[in-house]
Amino acid sequence: MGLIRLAVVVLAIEALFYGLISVYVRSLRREALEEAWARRNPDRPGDSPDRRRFVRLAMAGFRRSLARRLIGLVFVLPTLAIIVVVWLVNYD
Amino acid sequence: MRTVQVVLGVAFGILVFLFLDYALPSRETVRITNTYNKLTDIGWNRIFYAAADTGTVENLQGQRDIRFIDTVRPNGRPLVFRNEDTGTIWPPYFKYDSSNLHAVAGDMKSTSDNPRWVNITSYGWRVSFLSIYPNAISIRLVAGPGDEPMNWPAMVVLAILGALLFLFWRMWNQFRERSIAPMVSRADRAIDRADARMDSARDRVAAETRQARGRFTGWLGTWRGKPRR
Repeated sequence: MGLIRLAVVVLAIEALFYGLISVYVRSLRREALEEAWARRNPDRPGDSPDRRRFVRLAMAGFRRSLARRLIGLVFVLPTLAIIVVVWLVNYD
Repeated sequence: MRTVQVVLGVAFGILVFLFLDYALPSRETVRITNTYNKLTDIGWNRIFYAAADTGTVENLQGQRDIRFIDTVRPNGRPLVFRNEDTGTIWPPYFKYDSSNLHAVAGDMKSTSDNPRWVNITSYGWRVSFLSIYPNAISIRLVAGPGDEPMNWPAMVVLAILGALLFLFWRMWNQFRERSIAPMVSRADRAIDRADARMDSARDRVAAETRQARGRFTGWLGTWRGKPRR
């Protein structure tokens, strides 16, 4: 029973962090793309339909990238840490 | 207002420090003198003991049969540990080998004439007037009373907490820069537009009033024989 409760609590916290970190990473990527647009088009660096299209296409590629998928480690690393703590405390 | 902020900030800092001091592991080089079980009353100090559903059973009088480890520090002062399973949620030590730890502790008993020094990793405080005890996590033999192994588990946890704090700070800055600031400037522009519309409406009303008054005084003037302009 305690184990199920632990799994639920850990999963909920991991999901929260997954959401926060993926929003953050997407925002960083979008900002970098807007800066890249400004570098490539110094004559019209601000917001425009063309820039929005450029960012949308690049973000579609980003969703399939390795960096985006590495955020999934948020579900793996804390679980591993718990296993390591259990091993250190009870079996070492 | 400033004073209230400072007082609240300092109180919050002290709370965080106390919380970390209680929950993080600490290491103590001691000599074990006795191990035993004691039927212990658990009342209002229950938050300093393990959760009720982990390992030890509580009787109807609210007492638990808790394992204790008596030790003496190198300076001769006593330090008593409890030895309880922690359960699976809080504090997150996931300790369920209390019986094994008790066997190890019993094996390492020594007298002051022929001391064997051990290092006990534990969390919690010993406060005698609250009847609370630190919970022993692990025991290892050390070379002598001066041998204090590095407390790296606490350092690792603190480093992780610091990294998380840094991450939260960066996230908040990004959120403010990319979401809140554009929203505020959009709202500012909308207010400016509304303001300009209101100004022009007021100007129009004033102009029309002036015009109407001019027409009225012109009409009054015709009664006094003045020609309309």
